Amino acid sequence: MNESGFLKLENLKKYFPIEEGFFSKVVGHVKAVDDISLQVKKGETFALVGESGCGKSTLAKCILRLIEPTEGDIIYKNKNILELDDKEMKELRKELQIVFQDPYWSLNPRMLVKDIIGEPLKEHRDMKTNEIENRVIELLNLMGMSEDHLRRYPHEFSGGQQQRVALARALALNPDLLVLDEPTSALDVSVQSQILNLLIDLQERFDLTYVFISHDLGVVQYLADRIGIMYLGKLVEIGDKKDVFDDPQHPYTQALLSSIPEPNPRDKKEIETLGGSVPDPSNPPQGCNFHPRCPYAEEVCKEKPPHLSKHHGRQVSCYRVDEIN
Amino acid sequence: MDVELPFEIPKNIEPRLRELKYSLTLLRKNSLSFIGALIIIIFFLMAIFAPILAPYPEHAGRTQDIRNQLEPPSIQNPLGTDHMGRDILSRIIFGARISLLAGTSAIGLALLIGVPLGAIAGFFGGYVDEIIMRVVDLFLSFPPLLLALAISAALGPNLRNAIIAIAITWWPWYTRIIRGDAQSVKEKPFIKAAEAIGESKLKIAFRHLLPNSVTGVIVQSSMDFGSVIITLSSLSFLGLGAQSPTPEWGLMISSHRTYFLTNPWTVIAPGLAILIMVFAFNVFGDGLRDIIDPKTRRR
Amino acid sequence: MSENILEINNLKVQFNTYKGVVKAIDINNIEVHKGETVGLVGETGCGKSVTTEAILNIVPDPGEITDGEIIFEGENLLEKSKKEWREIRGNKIAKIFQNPMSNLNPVFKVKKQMIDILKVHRDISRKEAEQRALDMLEKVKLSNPKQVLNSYPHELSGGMRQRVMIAIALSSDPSLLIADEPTTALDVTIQAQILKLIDQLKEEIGTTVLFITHDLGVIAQIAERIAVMYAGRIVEIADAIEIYENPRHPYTKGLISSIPERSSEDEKLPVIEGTVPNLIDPPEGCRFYPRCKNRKDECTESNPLLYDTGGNHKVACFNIDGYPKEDFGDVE
Repeated sequence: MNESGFLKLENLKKYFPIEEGFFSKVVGHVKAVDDISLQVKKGETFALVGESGCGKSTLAKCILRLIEPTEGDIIYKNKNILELDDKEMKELRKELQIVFQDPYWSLNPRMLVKDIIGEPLKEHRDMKTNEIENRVIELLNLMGMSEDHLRRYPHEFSGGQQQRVALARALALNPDLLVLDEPTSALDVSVQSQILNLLIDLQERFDLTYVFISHDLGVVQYLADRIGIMYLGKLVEIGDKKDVFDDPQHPYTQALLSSIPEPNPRDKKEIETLGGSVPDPSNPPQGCNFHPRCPYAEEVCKEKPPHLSKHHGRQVSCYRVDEIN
Repeated sequence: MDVELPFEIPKNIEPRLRELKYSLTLLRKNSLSFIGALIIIIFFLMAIFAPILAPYPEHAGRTQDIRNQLEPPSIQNPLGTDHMGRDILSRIIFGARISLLAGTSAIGLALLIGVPLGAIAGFFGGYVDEIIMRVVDLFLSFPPLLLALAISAALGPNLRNAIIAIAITWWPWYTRIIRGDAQSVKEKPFIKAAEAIGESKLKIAFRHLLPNSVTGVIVQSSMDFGSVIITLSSLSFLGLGAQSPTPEWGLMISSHRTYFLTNPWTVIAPGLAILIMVFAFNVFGDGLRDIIDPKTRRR
Repeated sequence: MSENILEINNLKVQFNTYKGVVKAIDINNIEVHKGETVGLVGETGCGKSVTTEAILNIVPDPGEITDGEIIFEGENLLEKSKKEWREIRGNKIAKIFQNPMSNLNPVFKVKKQMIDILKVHRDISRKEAEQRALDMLEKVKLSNPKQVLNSYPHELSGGMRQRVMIAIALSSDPSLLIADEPTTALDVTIQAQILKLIDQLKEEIGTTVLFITHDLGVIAQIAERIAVMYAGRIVEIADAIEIYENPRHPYTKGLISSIPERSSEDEKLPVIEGTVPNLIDPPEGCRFYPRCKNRKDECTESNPLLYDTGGNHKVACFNIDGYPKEDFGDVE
């Protein structure tokens, strides 16, 4: 099988209708995901980076078909998952799993940990109760937790432990692809490092592929192989981590990277602040949706949206990329 | 408060017992609610053991004792006698039965109608939600007591119909509450996680959505108990609920309206009974909310 | 050395919950010099917010300040009367929060809120207050101050609301600005704008800033000196560069090294084992003991006080070279 085709998104769109009035008339659309195409290789960690409102969470849910995309294709192991019927989709769900940002609300507050982790097993496999319990214990141990934690409610645990439970549940059926939607954003820095180490361990052990969504570039720099930068529903730059971090090509990527405060007091950089704020996604700017905030914007940028094209060993979506750099 | 039990608690029950113990500790700390709970328990015991507790159990029914009419409180009749010569204390005790039974039935029926409708509205949204909520709006546009009155009058004046009338008046509130809760629970990640596992919508609704949406109605219905009892008594007072000789407290007040100035105890006793029971349910319901609400629980 | 605008000595704050007494804060000593930006950094639950509440004397029930003094501009705040506090809060000491909506009333326009606040502390007319409000909004670099004044808080973006909150806080020329995680809820590009703004305004107005955060990147960029907090105690306080390049306390060392940017991708991220202690029964002696790699038995005997290792670098750890062995702090 073609390695680079492990997961392919082709022209994926998710538009949410805006309804007004008593009869819910559609007056416009929020273009949460606006024509996204990318490929993820087997075994790699692909990071999707962007600020709030860029559509990364919506994209995460689309990949798992928790939301039906408006248009486009999602090809996983050479099958278009959007063409599968309910039964086939349910089978496929064993291979695709997700971990969410909010550790507490990822778990049913009224269920015991052992039932939370055991749920996928009950749903898909014909296993006896004690077999399920053994597997759950196995998974807990994998996460550095113990049998004592089986019969407890989520609220009895810390955020880090809750996230581990969520991770154990996600891995119960031995998936191949894990979508991680800001898994450590709600955790403290010291807990974060525990979880990141765990993720790396698991990836090696089980040959997992990660789609890692985050706004924290420090974590992304540590964990990712390749990165995609999102802005207002579109991908503006995709490339190898090193390339994007060392030599960002798109003006937004450049602004984003320079906005990150360095944890190094000697390096008090003149933060080049990006003016303005993210536009309303229901009414994005004409042409390139970044142009109102772009220091390099010109007439051509206001007319038609640019597309990703190959530059300097990666893909950039900008008319002026060569002139700027 | 660690009790040694003579048998092994099944492992799966143990955490639920832990939670229950914690709830009880919380209840004890909130003295007012605790008192409310105690009063409620007393009323329940009164209701269950009424035939034994009441000094003149037969007075709860049709018996009359003309010679003893309207006697003030004495040793034989601690709360005096009513206009038919019946012992008021005994009637109060049996009245607890009526109030509790009627209150529970009315609320139970209201929940039976309101909860499924609200759950469906919340889970499915869309047109189903719109239709159900418009019906709710319709019902809620009537003043509750008037609506209960009208329905009660239409159905015919007796206790059973009063209970039905109250249930019909009350169900929309519960629909609204659980619909709101269901809508917010629906958005939580653990629901999406269940979808990601591949569970059917029905299974998700029952296993995940419902158990997490009911706390609101549970709290509200326990707080409502007080209002329901007052409404019931009001209906009886107006002649639409319990009928003679039922020892319903509201009815007792109304049958002695004319005696208020001359024989006040005939009105004060049932009035106080209503007051105490409603008060108990109100403060208990308040405390229950604090106990159940996860935010105030985890301090 | 410039004078101290704020000194916190032996502050103890506890919360009397029915589960037990939570010994939330036990601060030995912090000094904030006039005109500097001091960062207070620590993870969730370490007590940073409670500390700011103590400074403003707004510790919520069931909390109470049981000991210590907070000296602000030479006077002990804990001895102030209610009337005196009204002069201080929002006036001499101002605070900005993580969530700007918590400071802005959603049912009133910005104009009304700003004017009301300005008139509380100064005897000026409505017209004067409105002008001042406009000036302040310009100062915080809002591009359309008139429009912002006429808006409701929910009509503004997160970044704009934060600017309004900063404008309100600075409108009375406070001597001390407490910034409690003001950028945590903002996008990174907006955060950069706000941090730059706070820095600029601090220069212009001459305010002292106490900046609280758990974000080690932000604090490195904005603070001149940093105090590290753990389980209610200050464990280390030094110049920012010292904290990052020469951390002495085991917790600080662990914290700094767990920053992902500081590890190369081939190494595992260093981890601080264990979890934050339960402060209902805080461990005897050093609160970091259960998680400390350098621990010794004597660490459980009493609580280490902040010890000046020279160059204004203070560390609360018995294992620091030169820590006076006889001078054991109070036993808990």
